[in-house]
Amino acid sequence: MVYYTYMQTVDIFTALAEPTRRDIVEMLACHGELSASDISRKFRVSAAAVSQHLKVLRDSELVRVEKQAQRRIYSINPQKLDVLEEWAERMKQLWSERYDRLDKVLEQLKIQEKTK
Amino acid sequence: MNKLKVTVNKESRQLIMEREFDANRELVWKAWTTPELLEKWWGPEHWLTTIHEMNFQPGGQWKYCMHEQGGQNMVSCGIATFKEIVAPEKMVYTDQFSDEQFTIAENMPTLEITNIFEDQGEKTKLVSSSTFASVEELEKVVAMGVEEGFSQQLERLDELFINLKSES
Repeated sequence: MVYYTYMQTVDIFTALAEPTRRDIVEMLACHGELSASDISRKFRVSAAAVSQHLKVLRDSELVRVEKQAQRRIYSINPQKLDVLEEWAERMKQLWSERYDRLDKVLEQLKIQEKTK
Repeated sequence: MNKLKVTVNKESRQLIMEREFDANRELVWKAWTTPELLEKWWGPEHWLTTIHEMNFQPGGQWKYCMHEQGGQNMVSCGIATFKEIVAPEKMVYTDQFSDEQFTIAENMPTLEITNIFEDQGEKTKLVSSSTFASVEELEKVVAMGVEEGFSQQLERLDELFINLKSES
């Protein structure tokens, strides 16, 4: 089986910030493999809009595509859906910034202590 | 700046963050437990943190909201419940998402956080361990943060545009 993955040009959080795209990912997680038309049929938005969402998901590497004749079959890219890894990365970002601000507060406190 | 070290332990379902601070342990503890000081450093850049309640004792709660200043004016609130406090070296609390009325929605994930403040004279090492119930729980935590993360990215874009404009 040949899967086509794409260079990651969209980050996962941007990709998942849109409700339709979250639904598509959930759908793929439940069903395993679905063709683009299977996915389109389940949404009220136009096929063109779904196709646009699928492009963003491909660019984020959250999903992968397998070409079967004229059909494009989508599935979840299991490597990318490492929640733990993503969460750790996000926490690192949040707390690095938070602790840098704490450093500044501590600097101020130290000055106050000295002048007491 | 001191560097933050992050490690993940899948077996114990823990995320461990270690960081040194150039201040003695009493000061670091004070900055963590005094509402007026917490408000200064807790929220992200351009978000205003308000502490609505700080009952710093076992069983007591710490309720806070973070309001985005400008942008999409988003609000993110949370409730921490203290389980164990050993001043000035250890605190254990659970952290949950809530709405602005501090109602915790059902089926919401809970993280348990243990902070150890190690005395190193003029420095302090803080080791913070967050334990999650399961990977499924964690998925919910990640999903909750998606909107917030997205808005911060947009904000950074805004800043970029402002810089570009002022340069041209």
